[in-house]
Amino acid sequence: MAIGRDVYCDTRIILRKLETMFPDGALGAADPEQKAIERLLEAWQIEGGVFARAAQLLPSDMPLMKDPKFTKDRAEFTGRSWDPKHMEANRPEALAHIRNAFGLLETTLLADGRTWILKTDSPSLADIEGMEVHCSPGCM
Amino acid sequence: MKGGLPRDVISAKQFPHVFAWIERFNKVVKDAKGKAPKPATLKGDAAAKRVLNANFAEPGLDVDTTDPIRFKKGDEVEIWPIDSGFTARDRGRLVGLSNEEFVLQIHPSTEEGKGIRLHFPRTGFRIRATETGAASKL
Repeated sequence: MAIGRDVYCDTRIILRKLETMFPDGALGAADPEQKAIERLLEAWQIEGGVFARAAQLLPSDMPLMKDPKFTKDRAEFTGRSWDPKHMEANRPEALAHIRNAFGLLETTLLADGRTWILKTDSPSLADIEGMEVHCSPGCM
Repeated sequence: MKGGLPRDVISAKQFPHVFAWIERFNKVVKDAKGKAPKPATLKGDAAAKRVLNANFAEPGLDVDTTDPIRFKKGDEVEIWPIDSGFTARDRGRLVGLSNEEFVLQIHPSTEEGKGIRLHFPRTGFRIRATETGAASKL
């Protein structure tokens, strides 16, 4: 994301800057406990490895995987093999990790059937932070 | 992504609350997109020109000299993420350092004074001093 001649690399910093630079459209909580949930969701998803595991669940039979340019680029980017055989061998472990992540939200923050994570009227930053990964392999 | 999640392991059956929440979220995003103004599409070179001719959005930046990495403002550094994408590094001068971010100033074009600033989150990235002379290749 670029604002003027400042360029922001990584979703985490992009969301934080949008929150502070455009306060009228901010979606973050004001309450410290709710802020903690936002930040912990972010750390869990990104630095806690959920995002990386979700990326490992890309179906190895999708057309893009047959493009050596794509798989070479991704292998260089991630430092992991994108060979379909290796991806398949890794899948059970990655899937268990993602199942665990779904289970966490199902049995804690969303367990009481609330509409949004912080019981807001419309989705807030906490929903975006929690959604980051669940949306990618889960809902398409 | 079709086929990413096997339904016998992860579906609305095992995780009804999470799947209902995702569905609600997607609907809100879809509705908001429908109401929002359509963004203009720019080609890469036009977008780069627009960025380089803009002003800095955050003019007042500082380097915290008590930060554990002990760098000074203006140090030539390189930075890269430690989880993925670590084979490509950005090089430039450190112009901002805080608990929240690293900021590097780089000069991607030959035009004098047309530098841009790259902001990275303070965690999940690694920074090193660039070996003497290496940065001048920019």
